[in-house]
Amino acid sequence: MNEHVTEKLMAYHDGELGGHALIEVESHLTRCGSCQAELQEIQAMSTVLQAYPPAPQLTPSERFIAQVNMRLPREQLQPVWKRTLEAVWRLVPFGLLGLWIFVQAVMFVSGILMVVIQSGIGREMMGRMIPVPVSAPGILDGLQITGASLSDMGLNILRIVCNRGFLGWGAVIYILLTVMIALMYWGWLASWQIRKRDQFAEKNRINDVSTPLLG
Amino acid sequence: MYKIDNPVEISAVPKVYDEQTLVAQAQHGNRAAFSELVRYHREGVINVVYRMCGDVHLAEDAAQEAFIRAWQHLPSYQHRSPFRNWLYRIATNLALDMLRRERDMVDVDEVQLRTHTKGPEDSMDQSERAVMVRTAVLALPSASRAVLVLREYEGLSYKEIANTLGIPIGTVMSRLNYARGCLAKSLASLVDVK
Repeated sequence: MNEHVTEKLMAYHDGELGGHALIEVESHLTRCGSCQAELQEIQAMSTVLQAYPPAPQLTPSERFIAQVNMRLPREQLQPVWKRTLEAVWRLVPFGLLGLWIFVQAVMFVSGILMVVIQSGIGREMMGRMIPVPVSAPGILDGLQITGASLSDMGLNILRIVCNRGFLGWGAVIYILLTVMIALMYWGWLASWQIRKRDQFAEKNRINDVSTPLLG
Repeated sequence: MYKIDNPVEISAVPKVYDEQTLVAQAQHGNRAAFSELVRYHREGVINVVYRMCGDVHLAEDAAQEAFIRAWQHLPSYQHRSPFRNWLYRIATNLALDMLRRERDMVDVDEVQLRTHTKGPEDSMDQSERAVMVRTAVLALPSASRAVLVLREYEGLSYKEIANTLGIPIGTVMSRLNYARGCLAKSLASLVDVK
């Protein structure tokens, strides 16, 4: 083997070679004076570099630690995903409020439209814009098809509520949405309370134990 | 990972240095645990920055700044790489930033006069040699110097250096090769003597 292993000598010196490459370099070095001399130069350079002394100690260890401690901010930065999650979580009430406003607006507009249509004002115009079949299939017809999972009693109650006239489908949907939004908001409030309690407990626990190392 | 359920666990800073536990506690905001980490890594971090910039005052300031940044970002630290390497990464980046900012402000000769303290036991040869080596190292481009410092003085492997500096292993090798080539020229007289 006459080819020199110059390009591998640095990695060999740094202990970065293994397996076949290591065997190759070691066996080459036993035969090649030129590569041996080069390796010795690299080793000598490493030895010479040790003449650069470590930093002289200006500040005693305890004082250094105290100085760092004094400059430490109260809060640590949370990872990006946690911060994003936190921001989304904080926006939940606003989202729910927006949803509630949207539902209110839709109900208000649809209520006005219903009044307009029922009072005969613009019926002709609306009829031209939105052709309504004379006998449009009721929603409950659909429920009868898909409502196999609903019990007969539940279905009957719904039918009574919707068809007897004291509540329309719009009102039922409105109530359901409002209840859903209210439940979500209460859920958020409950989790907020739990978080607050946990954070308070955690803070107390840390404050109890992080007695300063230096007065 | 490290779930500390028992308050007693978090309160106890172990007498034996247990880095993983200390890091986990510091991630939960325990300052006493972080102080232990600072105590243990202070010297290494100062030396890395010192050998990068050649000024012990700057090195101590930068080391403090590095520890403060480490504290702030500790919740993001994942235990994939050793904590020391993560700290060195922060310290090296700080040192490189500092060098970029103060490239024209720091005079290498002045730095040597300020920082070199000659003890009575030093022979003339040793102090001269130290000054020569320091001058040669500080004359290297900062990117190559960072690799050289981490390899020669901190003993990091190529892979660790690559992780610390966020560069490929091939770049580590080429920068190290370049640095050693430059030093071989500038310190030829010292190497010959050996």
